[in-house]
Amino acid sequence: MSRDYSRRQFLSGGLTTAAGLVLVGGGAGGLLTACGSSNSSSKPGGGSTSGQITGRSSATPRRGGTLRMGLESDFNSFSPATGQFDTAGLMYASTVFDTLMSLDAQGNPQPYLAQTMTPDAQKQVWTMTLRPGVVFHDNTPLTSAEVVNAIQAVQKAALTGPALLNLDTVKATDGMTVVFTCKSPWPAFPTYLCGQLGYVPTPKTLSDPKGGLHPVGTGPFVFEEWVPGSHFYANANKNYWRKGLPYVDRVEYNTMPDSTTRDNSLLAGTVDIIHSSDSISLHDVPGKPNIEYLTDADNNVGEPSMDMSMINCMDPVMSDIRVRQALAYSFNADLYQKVHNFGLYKTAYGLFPGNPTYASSTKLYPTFDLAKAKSLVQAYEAEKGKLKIQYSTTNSTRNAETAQFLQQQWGAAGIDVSIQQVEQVQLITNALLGKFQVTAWRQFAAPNPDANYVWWSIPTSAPIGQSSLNFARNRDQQVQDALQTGRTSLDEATRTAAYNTVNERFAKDLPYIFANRTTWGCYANKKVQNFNGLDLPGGQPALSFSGGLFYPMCTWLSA
Amino acid sequence: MPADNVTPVEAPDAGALAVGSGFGLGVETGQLPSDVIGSEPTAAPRRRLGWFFWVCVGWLALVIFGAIFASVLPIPAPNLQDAAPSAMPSIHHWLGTDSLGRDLFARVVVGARVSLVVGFGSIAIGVAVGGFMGLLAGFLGGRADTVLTALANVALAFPALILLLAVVAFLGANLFNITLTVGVLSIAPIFRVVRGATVAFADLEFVTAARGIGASRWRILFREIVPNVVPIVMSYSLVFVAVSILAEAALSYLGLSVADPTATWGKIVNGGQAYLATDPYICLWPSLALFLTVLALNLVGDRLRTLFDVREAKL
Amino acid sequence: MRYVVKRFLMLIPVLFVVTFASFYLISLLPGDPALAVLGPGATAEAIAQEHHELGLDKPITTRYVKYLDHVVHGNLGESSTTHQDVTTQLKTRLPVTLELLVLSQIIAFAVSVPLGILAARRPGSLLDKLSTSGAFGLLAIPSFMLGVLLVFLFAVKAQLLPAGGFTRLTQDPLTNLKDMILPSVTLGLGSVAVYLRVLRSDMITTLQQDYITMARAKGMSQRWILMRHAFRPSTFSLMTVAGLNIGALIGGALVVEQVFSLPGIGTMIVTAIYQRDYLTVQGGVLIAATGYVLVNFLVDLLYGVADPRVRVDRAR
Repeated sequence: MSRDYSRRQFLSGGLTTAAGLVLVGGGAGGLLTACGSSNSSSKPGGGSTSGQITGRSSATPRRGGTLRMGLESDFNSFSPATGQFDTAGLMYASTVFDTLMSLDAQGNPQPYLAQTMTPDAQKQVWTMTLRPGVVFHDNTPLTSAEVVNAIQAVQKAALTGPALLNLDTVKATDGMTVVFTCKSPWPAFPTYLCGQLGYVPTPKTLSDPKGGLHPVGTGPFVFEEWVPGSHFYANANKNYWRKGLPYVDRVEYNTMPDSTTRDNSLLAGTVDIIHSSDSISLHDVPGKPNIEYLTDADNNVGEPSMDMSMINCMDPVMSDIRVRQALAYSFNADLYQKVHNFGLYKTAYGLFPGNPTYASSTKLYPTFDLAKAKSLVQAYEAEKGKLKIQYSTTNSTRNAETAQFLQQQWGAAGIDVSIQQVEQVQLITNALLGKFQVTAWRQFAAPNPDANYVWWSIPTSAPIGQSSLNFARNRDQQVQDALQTGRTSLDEATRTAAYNTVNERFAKDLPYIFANRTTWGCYANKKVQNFNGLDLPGGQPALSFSGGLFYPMCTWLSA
Repeated sequence: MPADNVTPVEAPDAGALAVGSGFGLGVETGQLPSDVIGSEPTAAPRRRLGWFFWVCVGWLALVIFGAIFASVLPIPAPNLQDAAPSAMPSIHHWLGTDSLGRDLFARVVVGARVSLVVGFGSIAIGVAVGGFMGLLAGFLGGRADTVLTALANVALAFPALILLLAVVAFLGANLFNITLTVGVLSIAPIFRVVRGATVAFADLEFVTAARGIGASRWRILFREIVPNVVPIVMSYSLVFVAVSILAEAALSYLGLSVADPTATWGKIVNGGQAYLATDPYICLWPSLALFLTVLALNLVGDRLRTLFDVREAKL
Repeated sequence: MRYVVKRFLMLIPVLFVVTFASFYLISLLPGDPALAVLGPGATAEAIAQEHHELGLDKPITTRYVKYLDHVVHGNLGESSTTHQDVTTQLKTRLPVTLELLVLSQIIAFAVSVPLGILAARRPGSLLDKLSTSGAFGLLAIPSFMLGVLLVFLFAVKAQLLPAGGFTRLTQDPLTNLKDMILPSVTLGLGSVAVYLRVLRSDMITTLQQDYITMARAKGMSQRWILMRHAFRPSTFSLMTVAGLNIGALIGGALVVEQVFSLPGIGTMIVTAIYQRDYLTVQGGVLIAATGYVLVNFLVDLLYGVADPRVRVDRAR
């Protein structure tokens, strides 16, 4: 179903801040942590016979060499203000840029380019001091001016601006100090600076309309060449402020949207490491000679990424709740797992699959009931005529397969489904602008659920034709209130209750029909070491592999 | 070189060559039909068609029959997902099932429809328009001939696959657009074949004789020339059909042909590619069907051409 | 000289047709072409400016002349997705496609020439029969099928060669060649079938000519006769056919690049189609079509220059 998977996630992460994605973190780590999360990276290494590993090594790093990677997509621009950063986009951006904050293994934001980040008592005014001695690739020093410029750029941009609606002002108080003033208490604010919104490019990268084609940042690698849709090359930054990093001399990213092409390239040695959220990789690759892998299935920090069908609730047809219900009732998610995912993924209902804290809201989600779906369709058609919808997905064959599965399932309920395939960048653009009815989608990984605020809130929704980070355009006041509570409350129980409400409302509004939790795998040749072993400047381990993001910066190649 | 071949004798070759240059959607196939090459220059023309010819005809008949009558034949519905996915061939599913549990035999049989519609539909357009123009140009000669030939030369200078892709990109991918475009693309090559043959026949003794006894121009054209040109065009047309089918398959493979869930051979191969390591049959069957069909069309066309070749006819 | 001039004059209308066709593509789009060109989400000012740029209110000839002017100055617009200049994209991708085309032709000639000569030497021999029917079979295999098969055999099963990806020639020639082997073979094999058939039949015809019999009578060695008297004249036919084959090759390259994810013009066009990035598609179509026309022109010229008979004949 999703969609997904494959493709770009979307922006999800991207976009905004991604948001989500990965990024976000944790503010409260606790929230979700309470339930279940464990820190995934703690699994002892070595791993099972099939070659599952932690991707973290304590051996002495070996320097040099070229790390060749196969990613599932790329994006449209390196500029955080205009780029639709999905998983691959975040990896690209993290190559040349650094974020102000970064998530630790528990999903809590820790200073990265920042040296300290201190809130006032209400957690409404945040004061950041910058790390001294950081220089951009063009040898200009990093000061508060560049940081303010970067934040203001994303704050003003049509794409990313809505994610920072709650940020009132950002000001430099001296050369190395930046003060962020929020409109309400915002405990999770620092997590927003862990992703797309927290990258600091040079002012020129942001102001030049083509700056997104030749990015200059402070990151571990220096941009060399990017051929969109094909590859991106960068060379080690010899003056990187984190002494000793990176280990490899050069990184080469190759865009390979087709998961089996990626798998085959890894097996044939064309690339050294790949990521994939397609179950076919998990089905085919583990156990192959000389291959090790890692999945984020056990990484329960926060909210997982979900594979789903996302619905445009402002579309004239889809705004009828009966249609959304019919789609939900006629989708046999268990069968989908069996047919498409080889039984490797578990069906998910709701935003928090398998999380007992949210069990009460999770059970409200519709489950497969074809008779009910049929009667809903009949009721709709009696009133409004033949029910025809278009399902959009990316141009990969595995996604086309999912599309045809849905077409058959929804067709059995009497819904006439046509399929549209577009490239992932275009799919995301269409979602932003509301030019879809139902679309394959993958999103919502967030160590802190507040990071998903922008995707679900009323202020970030816009009519069809205008850019809306609330892609599904579901405007539910109860969701909005709960999101606001979750954002501003300092009490864990209150926050949990708030997100339970969100989950409950989604079961009623049905803006998303979930299929399963996205499981990302990272598959590598055995010579690739420590691709999940990043430590933050403070010494604590960074967030373990999740949402498809691994860390070329700390990776080395043994012999 | 598509450009100026003016001498009548050369013309049929030029037509054939044009086919080559024109299409080729990615598939360098039957283009350069053998008589550029003169397939059996040494041997005396073979008048016997041979058993292999009939095997090929039989295969084509089978494919066409299946495509037309698939819905009334006792085979499973091609888009129905009700069996275990990626099953091996069995009594119930002769060729097994695909990754969604659809019957592969049914999908391969039905997949021929799109191929055949594009192949034969486009040639119908090509022959109707290009054939008519070719006859006129070849028979009337003079200014009409000069103008039409120049137009055809210009048309042939445009690479066909690129044009096809452009049309799909800008007008959308559907059966009508693809068939029409491939049809339009086949006009110029067919024109050259017909024109060349017409010119050649117009010079032959029996035509000169007919003229001598005072037959009218139209009578000569329709009674003496057309009956001789038709078999030649037909034999060339089969090669065009093969090329068009390959072109559609390439588009399908790129995901730029008809919408899902309609089965086409190229699309089944593309979808099956993900399962090549574990279930190569998904790719195998449609590939085989495509290969055999194109091979059969080329072979039948080749044989017929040898049989009707205008140069041999002249001898 | 007259021949060259005449060919050149023929070239001009063809180039006009090619540029006009690619120019006209944008007008085929349903809806507002400015919106299509800019991509969804364009601001009102940007659309207004693009309207002005496209000059939609002006007659089509004026617009075409403007387009030609832009083309001549290397301005093909920019991608609606990345805002990269289309010209820049073409510059990075053209070498890849050219390399693929050249390598595939080297392979095609390296295989088809010796095979063709040997087959022509003894028509009807086992080698002749095998190569002839092999060629016929190859003609019926679409390049994507061949590509998938080769990937399966050499990359997935044997793990000898990469399944895709690309390294620049200037960066690491050896890796580059390794990356290019399977794609070039895939594309080249299609041409092998074509060239083999041409060469074989052409040489068989030549070998029946009187002067060959004469040479034989004079006691010249079989090898000398084959190479000097039979093969040399046949190179003309081979050249002609190679020129004509370019159209099919460009099409084939498009698909092969896709199968092996090579960053050439073909993948650029296909990706751009899926991204609704129309100016990039337009630029790709223009370059591919123009390239085809020019190569044909060159082959034609070469052919005329090499063979005096053609020069006279065709100039007539």
